[in-house]
Amino acid sequence: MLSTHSEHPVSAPAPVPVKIIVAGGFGVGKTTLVGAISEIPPLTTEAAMTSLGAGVDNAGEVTTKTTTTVAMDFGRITVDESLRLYIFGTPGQDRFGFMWNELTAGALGAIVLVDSRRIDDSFPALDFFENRGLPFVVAVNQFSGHLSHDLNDVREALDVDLDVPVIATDARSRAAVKQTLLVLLDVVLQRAMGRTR
Amino acid sequence: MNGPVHGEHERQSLSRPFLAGLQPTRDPISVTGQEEAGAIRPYFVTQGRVHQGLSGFETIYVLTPGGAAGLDQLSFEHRDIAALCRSPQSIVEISALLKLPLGVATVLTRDLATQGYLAASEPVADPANDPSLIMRLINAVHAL
Repeated sequence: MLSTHSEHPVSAPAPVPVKIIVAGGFGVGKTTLVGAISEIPPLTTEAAMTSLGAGVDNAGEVTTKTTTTVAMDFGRITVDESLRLYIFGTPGQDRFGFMWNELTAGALGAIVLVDSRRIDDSFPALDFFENRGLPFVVAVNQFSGHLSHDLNDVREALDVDLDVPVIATDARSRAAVKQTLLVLLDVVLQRAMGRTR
Repeated sequence: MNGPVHGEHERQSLSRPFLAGLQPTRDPISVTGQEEAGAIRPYFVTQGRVHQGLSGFETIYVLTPGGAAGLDQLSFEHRDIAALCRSPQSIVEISALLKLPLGVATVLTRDLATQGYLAASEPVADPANDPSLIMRLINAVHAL
């Protein structure tokens, strides 16, 4: 029916999930990137999120609850029978900041996908990951096969730490996305080794 | 000026919104634009219980042997979820594949786990501090 692969032997434990976040502005190519590497076509889930008092600028006597439906696209990669990687594409705008704590809880790291023509779209995500200390890479999506700006210019405009990789990617290309993921995992690994040394 | 394309000067003079304490208001983009009004029936089947937020949404569930034997006793919505979990599925997959809002899928799936139909695999607690786990991921991505 809906099952896309062979049936799991009943009684075998389910694989343990681990996740990576792909953040970036609207239309930057998050879903395309997820689809390029996922073993299933990207799926979409909708979550009704409630933010308390967001945007209330009255004298504070009114507490409004704003409910927003947030769509998340995701894909997955089976690592082995006991480990599964999920890749979540998430809206990166300021107005969704309230959900990022939960969204990123337990995440291994993040890819911030950037359109170099709309660079400020990625600021909220960058600020969040920096403040949370979550490892991330900046991946500049090459639209129509070429970069609109030099990577060094992008790095300067984004003002990220020197130890944050700023790389070119092509969200449509499996090979390029694979490489992006490997760069992120390398950052994550280096950090983990530094900690457990 | 305010279009999506910024000139070189403007781009470099932009401050990072959060760091500057600014809350720039943007036009709503990248939301589905739907109010929840259409979601009455799913919330009905949870008997009004709503799971707020996203916590644990990648937890993976699989049908237990006892659950497989007892599928017929389940209500329609619960049975769909349990049957789907013959192969392991996360709550987000259950939500997406059965077209249930995430909060509803969470409530119903946890019902089934509480009743023993499904067994849960919780997310790795602190994956970023586990070099051997990260190596397994690297090897798997290399092999793609």
